[in-house]
Amino acid sequence: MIKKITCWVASIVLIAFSVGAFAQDYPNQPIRIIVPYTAGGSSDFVARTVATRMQENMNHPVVVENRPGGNAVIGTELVAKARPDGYTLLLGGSSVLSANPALYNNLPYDALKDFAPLTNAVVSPIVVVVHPSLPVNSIKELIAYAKANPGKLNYGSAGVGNTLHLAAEMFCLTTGTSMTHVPYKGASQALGDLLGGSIQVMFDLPQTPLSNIQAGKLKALAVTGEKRIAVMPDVPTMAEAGLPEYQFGTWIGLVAPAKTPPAIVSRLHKEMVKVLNQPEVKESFAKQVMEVKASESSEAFAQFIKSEIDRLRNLVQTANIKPE
Amino acid sequence: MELLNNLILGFGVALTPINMAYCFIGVLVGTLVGVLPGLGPLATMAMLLPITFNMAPVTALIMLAGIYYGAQYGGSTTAILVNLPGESSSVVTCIDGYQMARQGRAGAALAISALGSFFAGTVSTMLIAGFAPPLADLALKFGPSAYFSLMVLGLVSAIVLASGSIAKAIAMVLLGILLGLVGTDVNSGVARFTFGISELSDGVGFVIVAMGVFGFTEVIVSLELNEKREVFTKKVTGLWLTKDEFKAAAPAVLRGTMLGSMLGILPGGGALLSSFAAYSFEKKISKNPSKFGKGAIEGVAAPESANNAGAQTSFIPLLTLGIPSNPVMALMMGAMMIHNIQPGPQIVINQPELFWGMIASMWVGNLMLVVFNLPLIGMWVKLLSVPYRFLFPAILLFCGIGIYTLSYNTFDIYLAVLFGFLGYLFVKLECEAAPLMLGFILGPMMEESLRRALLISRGDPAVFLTNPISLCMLIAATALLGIVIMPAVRRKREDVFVE
Repeated sequence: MIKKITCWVASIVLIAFSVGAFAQDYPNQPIRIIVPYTAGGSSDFVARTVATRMQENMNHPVVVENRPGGNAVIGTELVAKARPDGYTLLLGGSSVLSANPALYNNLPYDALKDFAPLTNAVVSPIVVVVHPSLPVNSIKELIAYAKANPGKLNYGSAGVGNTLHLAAEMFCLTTGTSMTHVPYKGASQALGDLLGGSIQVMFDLPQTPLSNIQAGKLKALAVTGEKRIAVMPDVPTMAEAGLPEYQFGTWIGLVAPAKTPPAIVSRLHKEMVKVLNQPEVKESFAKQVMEVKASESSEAFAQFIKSEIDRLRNLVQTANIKPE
Repeated sequence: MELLNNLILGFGVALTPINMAYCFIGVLVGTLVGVLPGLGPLATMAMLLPITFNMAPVTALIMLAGIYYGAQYGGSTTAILVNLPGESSSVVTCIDGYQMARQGRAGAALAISALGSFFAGTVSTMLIAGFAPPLADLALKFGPSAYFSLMVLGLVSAIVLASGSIAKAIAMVLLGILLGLVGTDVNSGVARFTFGISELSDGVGFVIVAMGVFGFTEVIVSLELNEKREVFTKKVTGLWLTKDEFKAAAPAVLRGTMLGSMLGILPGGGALLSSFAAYSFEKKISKNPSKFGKGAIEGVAAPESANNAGAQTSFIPLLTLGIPSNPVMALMMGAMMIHNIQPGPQIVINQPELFWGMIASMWVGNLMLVVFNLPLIGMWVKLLSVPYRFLFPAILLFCGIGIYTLSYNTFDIYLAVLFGFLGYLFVKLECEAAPLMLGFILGPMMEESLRRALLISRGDPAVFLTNPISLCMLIAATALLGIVIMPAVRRKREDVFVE
């Protein structure tokens, strides 16, 4: 009898303590950053760098968890439905938070309503690469070639609806050309066929084909963005190449579930911006051709995401891109 | 001579105490991970990635690489002992390896796995050292049409894999292809056969099917038969290879190595396809094909050598072109990025000590593995004498944990159990699982390549015949098909005449 009572009292006391845990200061549990891709990609790299530095600065565990699958939908959904206590965050980028919502009508998450944006982390331009056998040496020549041979050029992408696909479609729309889309399971596979010559053009993030461009196995015609990339100083920007109206960039940022308390949101924003402004962080991202561009405030980031979704929705409708 | 200088440079890097220590840790962890069903090198490397941040780049890469090819060694252990493929590439080893264990020859099977893998590792390391750039260029020549024809050849050889009736083998291959079609189609972005379940939008995982059809099924079947398992350990006739076995296995190792090295370079192929191809090839050219499936040592030697060779040569596209040929290589590329190394054609020129150090350490790692694994054979064989009523819950538990680590999703475990029941049905119907697995891998790749080739050629099917590599593959496939079907047709005619 005494034993039973003791058990009950002990359990109640323990439960009381565990409830009390929530009332303590944030953070008191490890913070998880969910990356909806497999380990080893550029998103993963950004997440791990930010996590490690945050851990150092905050003296508190910050870990990265990879939850790939379903075109990044599975990981994103996980965070959308997670408890808004600031311990589960998402590293989302242009594909997850702006391209997917623009393309699919039945996503299990709403990119605007289900998340509380924290900050943008990096932006990355797009580079136009072609196989050396193609007789073009500049963007203008590419446009001329494409106009003279409509539908003949093949361009590769990392999948239907992927940002690389959208970047190419926007180019075709802006220049009034038409090229045939050849989707692959990932940019690396597309790169393989580009090197082999089966496809001729690719709109890609700069770091993937970088070493092949430097070795002369691929020709880079132009990059989007306002200035030239440091590792590819000979490649002109779109504006310099004569096509200033075509701009396409990709971005990677961090969001928390919606309804996360504003105090936690601003604390996280502050910590992340601190990490992003560290010179070593900027330098290591720059080596992967990603430029740090932290948002001034979470609201600014929220606005940015909304404008991106609108822009891509517009593109998808005009170019009639229909995955499903 | 330059090669020799480079190798000396490489060994100089690989044989430093710290690199050797991390190489050992890598292969040790890799072997353990390979033995554990489900948990694979990819998940382990991802988990250990943060530890590598503070290491020198070469050390980090040596350790990660060690995990990968160490897992190929370890995967064969459970495949041979309990018919449970620890790694997806050990599925083929299950077929003859387990039969060998049932006949008391587990020690020999484990021995030839280790030895064959070491030989393959040595040869493929030399290939990488000497011929990496030209091999990479060769791989680039495989356009979509060549891939398609290679897959067709592979599918025809799937029929060779089966020991039983050809009709059943074809049926299993087709079923495998159907299963492989589940998921999001690359060329259109449409989700097929997923019934709205988002976990299926990337398709059914190979590991899940393999665990289910081989692992869970075996547990069900063993429990049903309630057979006396002392027979495994009572009949153990020595832990080493007999002279005859060695003589039979040696050429198989050689052939497996060659095949594995070639297939490993192709993106998407890698260790997985090479073990299947090596097994089919051995069976086809054997003077006594009926012994395959009943414990033929060539059926263990060839696939094991092939999968290790494939694992090593799959580094080539990454190190020379900066293109990862499978998810593990993509992770290695990520690890390189974290250490600010840009994989690609420049690595050999800009960071030779990294490139050659890695290659040298691959060989060192292989040596460590064989020295480490051979004495353990006695211990592994003892595992067979554990009463089955303790063994099978452990198997189920490890399988479950392993499957869960794939995507942290209990759905995967349910799916594997479903495949376990399905596999039981196959056993009752006397259908073999190996052609199903091969159809499952090759079907989707074949479809993807077919549609891509036709997309690029704008619907012209002649592209499969005008591409020289593609043409060779298709001719080989037709010839193989003919050879396989001819005896069956002739026999039927003779039966008719006898009537």
